[in-house]
Amino acid sequence: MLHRFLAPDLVRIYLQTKLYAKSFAGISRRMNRGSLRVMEYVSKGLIDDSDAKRGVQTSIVHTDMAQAELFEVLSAQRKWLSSCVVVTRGGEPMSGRIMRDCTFTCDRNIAGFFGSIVQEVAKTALVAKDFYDGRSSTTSGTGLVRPLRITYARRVFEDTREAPRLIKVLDDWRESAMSLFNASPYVHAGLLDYSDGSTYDLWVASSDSVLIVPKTVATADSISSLCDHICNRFEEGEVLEA
Amino acid sequence: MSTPLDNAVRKMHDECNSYTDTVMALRAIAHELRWDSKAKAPKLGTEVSFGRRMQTTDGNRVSKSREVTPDLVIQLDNRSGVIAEAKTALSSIAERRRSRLLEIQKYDDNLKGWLTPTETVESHSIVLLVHLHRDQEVAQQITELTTEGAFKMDRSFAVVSFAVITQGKTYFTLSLAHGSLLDREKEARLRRRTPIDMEHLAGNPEFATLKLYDAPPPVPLLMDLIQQCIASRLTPEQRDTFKDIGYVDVPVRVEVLTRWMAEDYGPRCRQGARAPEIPPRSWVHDAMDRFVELGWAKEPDSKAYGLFVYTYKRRVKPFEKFLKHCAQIQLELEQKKVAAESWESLPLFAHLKDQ
Repeated sequence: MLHRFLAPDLVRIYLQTKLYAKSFAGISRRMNRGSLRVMEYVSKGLIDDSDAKRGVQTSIVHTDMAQAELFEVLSAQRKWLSSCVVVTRGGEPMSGRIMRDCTFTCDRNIAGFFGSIVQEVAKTALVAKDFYDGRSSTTSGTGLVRPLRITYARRVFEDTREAPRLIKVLDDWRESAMSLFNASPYVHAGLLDYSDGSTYDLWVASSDSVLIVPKTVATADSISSLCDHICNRFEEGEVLEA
Repeated sequence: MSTPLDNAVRKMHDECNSYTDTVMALRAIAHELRWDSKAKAPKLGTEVSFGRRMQTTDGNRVSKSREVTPDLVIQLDNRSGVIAEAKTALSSIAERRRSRLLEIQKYDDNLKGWLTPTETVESHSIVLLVHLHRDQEVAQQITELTTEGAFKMDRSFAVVSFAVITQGKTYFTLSLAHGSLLDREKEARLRRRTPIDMEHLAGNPEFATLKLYDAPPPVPLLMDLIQQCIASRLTPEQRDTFKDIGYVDVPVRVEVLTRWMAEDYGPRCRQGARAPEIPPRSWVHDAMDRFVELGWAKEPDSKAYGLFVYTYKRRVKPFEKFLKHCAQIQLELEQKKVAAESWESLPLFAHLKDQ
């Protein structure tokens, strides 16, 4: 059965690979006995083929590796995590899957899994929620917006095929509409999230980042969803203060 | 092969981009002229007002004792400032540009309305912002108008051009095409062409929400802002209805919508009574009429002037729809105009005109 960590009336937060790593490292440190191991993971990565119509591929890997090793592998392969099945070995036995959208399933020892693993991941997710809060002009407390930026380690947009791919990805973002004002040489789009009235300007004016400028209303749920959509469907970058 | 409608859509899209670029140019010059390059921050005590209402004196050569609304007023300190006016849609024909260039002399006056206790400053510079593709023609014409005695400025006057360039990063560049500024250091920087990081401009919280200035935007751009504005202002009940049935009818009065638009996208600053009316109600009303034509809104009662019912529902690519609709109207108007002119050139057949 699928469970959501956070009460449904709270904001939906998405776990980036970095947050998974932080949570799992914390869980491992707190374990008195045994270790946390990954038995299966679903990851995404770019398709390195200029003829490919899709930009991103999904891989499912059945394995048995220490949690820290998973993040080293992902980093080396330039991939990001969608979900993973973790088990404890050597201590209180438990296992379950943690999904990127903060949902989980458990197939062994739900009480232990919830208390030791899910709650730890939820703590990290809630800190992330604070990052997305209060960014619109009506919620920032100053009347000024607080833009954020998704930064990439490489110059993604030097490849002229990448901006159109991002535009296509944005077009598919949940219940939303995109107004494309400019597609080249820089990208400027307006986004309206119909589900809660959040609105944004989105700019790609440098080769390695996407700038998101919230407008009058921009809920943490919506911003988090937008950032995750870009990170999960286009390419995972680091979401930072602009 | 492009149809006339495709061409009209492209032209309208260009007009929208030109308007957005002009707003960015105003933001860029505001940023540049108050930027303290040593402190790497805006100079303390500087104030920026977009579209502030100012008063001319009896001695004004162009507009005596009248209210004028420069696109941008930068208060540098209690003694000096800058007035900037953007003229982007300048004709390629010098004669057609003439009156628009001469008009800027109205700011060469001891204007009242500055943010000082006396509402005046000792001196100010006047900046005319033009797009790069017109800067040399404008500079040349200003020189000629000055020589013939039609153009005279007692204060520092500069023509500054702007353009967007992309080289890895996208920059907004400002460059001095003619004249001088009171601030010699800034003048020297503009002579060298100053690139400003587009991301820095777009993400500057102080100006990030500014979308409208003193000139009317192309209607598709305004419609896009209106649909976003309405979306942001739904009540919880309206939002619940939308979630339940997929749409909700939102009654909205033009005067209320105009106020929301001013709050969300107009020039926001400490302007008090000198705050400009941007957007004016007429812009918003005209745009709402376009929504009615598109079937996105209704006017429920023709007697209740200014009341519209906007249907909020999920739409795909709204801006493209606005562009296409407005371009279609523009095209029809142009075709009618051409037809009318054809009849005028054929007086012998005038009796057939209405058949």
